[in-house]
Amino acid sequence: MVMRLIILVATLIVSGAAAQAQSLVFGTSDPTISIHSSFSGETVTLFGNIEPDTAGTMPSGAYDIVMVVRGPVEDRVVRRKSRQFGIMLNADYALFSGLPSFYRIASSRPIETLLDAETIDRRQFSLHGLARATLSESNGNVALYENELVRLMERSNLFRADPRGVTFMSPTFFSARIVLPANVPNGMFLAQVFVVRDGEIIADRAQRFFVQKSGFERFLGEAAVDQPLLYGLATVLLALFTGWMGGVLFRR
Amino acid sequence: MLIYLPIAEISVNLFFLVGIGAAIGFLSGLFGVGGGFLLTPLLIFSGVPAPVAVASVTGQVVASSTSGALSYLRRGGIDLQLAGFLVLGGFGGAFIGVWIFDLLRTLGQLDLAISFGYLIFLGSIGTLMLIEAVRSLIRSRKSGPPPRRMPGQHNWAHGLPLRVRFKRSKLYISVIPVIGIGFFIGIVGSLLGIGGGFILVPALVYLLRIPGSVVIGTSLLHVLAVMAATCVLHAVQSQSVDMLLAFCLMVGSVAGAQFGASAGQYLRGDQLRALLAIIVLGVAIRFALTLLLAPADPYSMATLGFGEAL
Repeated sequence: MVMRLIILVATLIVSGAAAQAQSLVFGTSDPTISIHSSFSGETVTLFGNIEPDTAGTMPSGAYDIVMVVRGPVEDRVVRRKSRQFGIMLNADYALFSGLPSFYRIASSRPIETLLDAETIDRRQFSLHGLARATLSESNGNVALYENELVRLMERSNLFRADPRGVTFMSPTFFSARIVLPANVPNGMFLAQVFVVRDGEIIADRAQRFFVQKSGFERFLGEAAVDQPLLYGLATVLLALFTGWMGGVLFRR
Repeated sequence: MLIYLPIAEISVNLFFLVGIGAAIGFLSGLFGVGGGFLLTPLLIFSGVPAPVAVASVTGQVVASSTSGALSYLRRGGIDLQLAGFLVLGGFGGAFIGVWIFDLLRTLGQLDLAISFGYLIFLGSIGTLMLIEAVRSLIRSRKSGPPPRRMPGQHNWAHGLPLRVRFKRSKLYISVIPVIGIGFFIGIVGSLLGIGGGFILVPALVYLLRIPGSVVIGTSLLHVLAVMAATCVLHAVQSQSVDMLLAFCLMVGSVAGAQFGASAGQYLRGDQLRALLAIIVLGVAIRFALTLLLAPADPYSMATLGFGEAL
């Protein structure tokens, strides 16, 4: 991975020098993360460089970086149990529609010190803001549910805000390591990077990468959806065969 | 060693899966039950999404009942005719059970219904089994072997029309209660995600007076057929059957089942029933506690998918 990283950085710097119009280059170490049979999570390195602008003036001054990585969206429901008629029942709930199944906010300094509250909210640079924006239906205390969603998602390693997650290796070259946990959802991920100076976003770039099953896991996952009847029958046949084999192998 | 489950989309320790498969297999070999009622809650507790756990356990139950059913078939311990009528009712029941499952889901109280279902069925069956087993244990202490029930004894179930002669069971009874019992177990099984062997065996023994020599084998065949149908149904309806998860559990359980069956030979029938009753009651009490005690974390989170709704 280190070798790939070096090559990528080299190409980025070369291509960046050729295209003077770019003010920011951004890349990822792995365009495709494949999930294999012993997958236990993976680290993706995202990096970029602030380039000279169209006029050719070299970047100057202090820059800060905000990086957001979001996974495929889904609908999630949070439920609360409470005592009714002496037994514990699901009392109320909140539905979050179009919620990213994975969300990382990484920045070079705490975001509150970089941008004003309105921008943070609009750009979804806070986990609570994201929860608030996606809450679509609830019959309980809405503010409470936003907090609980963030807490539960953080506990599952799916949401995280890392206020010092982006490091500068030179005044213009930055990188961030994003840890994908073992329970990472499958699908397309979008990584966005924003360059901040004096409380303003002055440049941004986006980069996609994919998390997908590979080999046998991919085959099984697709078969279960494309050929459900055959898949079900195959499972039953496998079960019958395993049961019969067990009887033969261990027969007393 | 971690293994990635493609449908559940999580990584689980392979030895943990095979291990719980073996433990459940040992119990199922020992008692002649499928063990789904223990396995499903265990999987959910270890992080497998509930719909995936319920659907994949059906595959495991098929495997563990196959090796048992085959060995009973070789020894002539299955009344195929009786099993045929039971399975007929069972298929109908599974169909209705899935329908009730959907109905409860739209009403939003599926969790409650499942907890109550486990509590009522496991609690009542466990209590009955324990009382019966303790009684016969006491009786055998007092005066040697317990008196055998006469197969000729009749109750209301024997007075119904449509009587059929079951040669292997040496019975001449109506098929209505047979199909009815299969139907009822089918509903309960598909609702609670269990094979229902531990309900079926007492029902066959006490209601229909099926002789002990064929009751376990016949019940295993019924569980096998109904669970195979339920597995395919789940695969088609919610696509939540994880073949890899089911396979890991199967491998453990078929091995464990053989050891359980040999261990069972060192215990007497009434001792076995008392042990099983205690396990069944334990699970029932656990469900009662989840209904009665406030959980450490009252909030829970679920993804809508796998046919799950609000």
